[in-house]
Amino acid sequence: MKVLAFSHSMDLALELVSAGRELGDVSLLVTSDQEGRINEVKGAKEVLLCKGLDSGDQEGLVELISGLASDYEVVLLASDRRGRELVGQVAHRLGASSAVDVSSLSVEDGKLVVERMTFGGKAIAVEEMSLPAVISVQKGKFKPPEEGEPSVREVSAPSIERRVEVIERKEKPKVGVPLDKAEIVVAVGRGFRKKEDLKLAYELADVLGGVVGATRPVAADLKWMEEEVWIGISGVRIAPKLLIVVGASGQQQFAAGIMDSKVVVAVNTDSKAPIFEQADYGVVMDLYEFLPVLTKKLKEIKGG
Amino acid sequence: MADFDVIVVGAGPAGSVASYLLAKRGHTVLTVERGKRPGAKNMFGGRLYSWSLERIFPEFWKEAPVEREVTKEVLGFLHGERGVEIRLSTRPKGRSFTLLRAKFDQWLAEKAEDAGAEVISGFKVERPLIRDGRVVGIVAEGDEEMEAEVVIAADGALSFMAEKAGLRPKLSKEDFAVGAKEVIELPKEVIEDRFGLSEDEGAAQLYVGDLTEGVIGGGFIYTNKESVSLGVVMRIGSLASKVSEISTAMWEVTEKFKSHPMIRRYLEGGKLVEYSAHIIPETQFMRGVKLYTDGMVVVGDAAGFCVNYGVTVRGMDFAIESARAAAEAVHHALESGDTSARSLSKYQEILSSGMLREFETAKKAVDLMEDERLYSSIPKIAVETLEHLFLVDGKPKENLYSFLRKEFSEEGISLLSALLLGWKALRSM
Amino acid sequence: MDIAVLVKQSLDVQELRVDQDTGKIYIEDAPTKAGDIELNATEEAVRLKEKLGGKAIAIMLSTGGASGKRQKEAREALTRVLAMGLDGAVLIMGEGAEKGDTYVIAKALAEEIRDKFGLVLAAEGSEDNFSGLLPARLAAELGWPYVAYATAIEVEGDHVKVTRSLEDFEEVVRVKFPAVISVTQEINKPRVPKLVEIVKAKKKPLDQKDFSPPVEPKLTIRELKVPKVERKQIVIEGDVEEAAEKLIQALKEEGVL
Repeated sequence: MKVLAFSHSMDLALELVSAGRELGDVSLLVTSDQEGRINEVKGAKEVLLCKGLDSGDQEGLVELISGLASDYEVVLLASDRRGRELVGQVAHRLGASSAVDVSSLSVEDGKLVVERMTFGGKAIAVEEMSLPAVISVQKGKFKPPEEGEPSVREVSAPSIERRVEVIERKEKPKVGVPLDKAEIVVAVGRGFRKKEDLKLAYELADVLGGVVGATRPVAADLKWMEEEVWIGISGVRIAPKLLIVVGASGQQQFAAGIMDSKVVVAVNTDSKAPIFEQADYGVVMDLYEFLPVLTKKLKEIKGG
Repeated sequence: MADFDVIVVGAGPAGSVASYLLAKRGHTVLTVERGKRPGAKNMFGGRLYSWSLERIFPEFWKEAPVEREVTKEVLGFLHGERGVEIRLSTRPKGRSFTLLRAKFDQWLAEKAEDAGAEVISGFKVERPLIRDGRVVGIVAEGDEEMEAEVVIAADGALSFMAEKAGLRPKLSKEDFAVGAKEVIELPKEVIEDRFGLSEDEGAAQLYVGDLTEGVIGGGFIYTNKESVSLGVVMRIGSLASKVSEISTAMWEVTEKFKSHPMIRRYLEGGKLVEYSAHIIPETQFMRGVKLYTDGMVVVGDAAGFCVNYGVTVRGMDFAIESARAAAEAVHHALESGDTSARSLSKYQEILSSGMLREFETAKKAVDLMEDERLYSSIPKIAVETLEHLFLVDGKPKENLYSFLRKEFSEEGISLLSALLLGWKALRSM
Repeated sequence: MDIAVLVKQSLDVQELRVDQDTGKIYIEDAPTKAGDIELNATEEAVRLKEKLGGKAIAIMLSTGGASGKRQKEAREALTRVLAMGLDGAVLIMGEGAEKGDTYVIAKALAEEIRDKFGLVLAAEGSEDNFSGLLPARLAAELGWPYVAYATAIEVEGDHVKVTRSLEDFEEVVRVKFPAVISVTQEINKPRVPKLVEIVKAKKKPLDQKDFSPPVEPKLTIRELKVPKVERKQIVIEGDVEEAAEKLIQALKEEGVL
């Protein structure tokens, strides 16, 4: 099977090569602004270099990719915003099937079978796609290949009338992360004896680059924190990479809200607390002793 | 000209029934519900006595989303790890059904809509619109005014409508009990097996004992089709000073109830799908409520037509009947072009000749439930007496009379007052 | 020039229940609604229609099947957006739409939009599936330019200036009409309609049409699975210092530090 891949981000492009190799030979499209990183491309059959097109030109990319795609069964794009913007347009131009944010892909009976999250992360859809297919691949699912020198072939830029004109581009200021989008969350429960003590959790969150959330009693009843940070079945459902639950027993209410977390750590003095059944790593210890030490050690690592 | 003939505030059973009846008779009706959907904010009244709704929709259970018909009544006494259950199997003439409010209220609201009422959910009404001492409409969130010939306040126990129209005094927290409810999912067959039910049959089980630590209150379990509704009611408004203390206490008592060996076996393997805590009106405060004023009537919980038995609450049947009476009175008022208090007093007249008598009887039972000994001494004595009767340990047995005397005197209750309590119980039934 | 706002009847995923043990997804029990970001698109349409001097119409494809309950919910969702100030709505319903292949849906919607509208506004993604594929496909079907992730839209004569938010930077682009634009939640704060507007919205024109798939789908959903959560339940032993070190080590191996 022949696969055409492209991403605005060279890092993601390398992941796409790896994903594409699960299906067959990969041709990676490289635009003029990416030319300097061509030698990082490993594992692709060939690199298609378009010296006349910048990756900022979305209309040009739709045209170019749609034109090249007639020689391929599958087009792989990245799941960043500009990648996703291309998927539907390219697919429709080709009369192809489409899917975004795909986490796995395989071929069965001449159809492409992909998996992707749907319903706000509550379900995984297994989708059967007819060929040709255009998909965007979830970030971080595939490791870039380390070997295999591709050949380089130049392709020419399309000449079309542009209807979208970029007039300005500026860096974004960094903003605070909402709880449900945070990658690292420290969740606090009733194990904290008073509001002021929550600073132990904030210090831990700071060193990890995470945010602090709370159980229902802390947020809704004691009002130590805003209700917006209440994690649970009727509060916010979170899906961080790392969740550290401190001083919370793990009532079912709360448990339902943390289900989607990747790695869960629990710190609680009560070894029988249900939270330990919902955790990957449990520390049966007084949070007032454990947290300062953990924060200090993390600081040492991050600082060094 | 007013925007609507009638604006109904609240789409619970009372609000929807009033809306339905008035829309059906050709009046323009706007029904405004605060919850996201009708039923979304309701929790109690997991059991409906059918008599009042049957008058409006004969054999409604064939169509309405009811769960099971109650044919098993259980009264339980819990003491420590031990417990006694008294089980009555019955098929009473006055039928009653368990139901899930989220579904049931929506069904009733749809009936109102189909009859022509405009039902709008997710919208908060702040207060009645009052001009020259007369209710002429509502003020909705964002200070929006909407006029009606008659307003029907069906906004539940806390009824700000009634309060702000001067129909009832401002309430303090002593006027309320607090309830917590969970819905726990279990397979249909498991429910029928554990509760001894055949298909469509349901159980209503009430429990008192030391789980509430002497506070008036207790636990309940109602069986639905594929879940049980379980909860705790406690009169703790006067005991706790902070909301957080109350909700933490409710949580703890609910957990204690669920983990009692006698209760746990009903729930094993179940899945918690819903938890909510709510405020429940006490019956006492309703003395002093007026049911109507110029341009407005009050129905259902808002009017205090709700009996709190300490352990459980009965209100839906009264709510529906009061709405029927109110709709009748409002219809006549609209027809005659006179929506003054004098004209709307017909509402109270209709109630007086019917429902109010039944309501008074129901409230008598409450007097019995007011006796705090029912929540402490009686469960203990019941459990220990039965234990005494059934205990065989090879040692000579004390006779029952002297055992009972000892038990009662430990609890500081004379046999005479125990008998009186029993007699009061019988009289109130 | 008239504006079309794409509104999808989406499952309210907050209220969707899934059972980890049995893998059952209770789709039928979950209510549906117009997506939150579609309210932003609606707000933007209401704001822009005065400048463009035309009407703004909601176009909803009901993907809930043709059941009475879903039909009622679809109308309620439309009432919500109509109350915000749209002038009318087109509701396309019928069996088959719920299978939701964007290729088919884009073809069906294009028929409603071509020659009638000069601007299409959509959400960057739907509430329940969040693929963002439909507006992109629709643009391609219509042959119109497509700009996604708009955080600001300004009309300037025969074109619009769109500020769009990408991962690391913001981009300002100029687009000629007709165009398809998808918006993000940051673009505005949707107004909360008044009661009287909701009452009036129920009387606004609602054109209901039957959906019949114009082409064969390119994609089918074979299965919906519930992601399984299995926790390792490892208890970290030792004194405070040791435990902290062991935990950090474990988290490093997990690749989350």
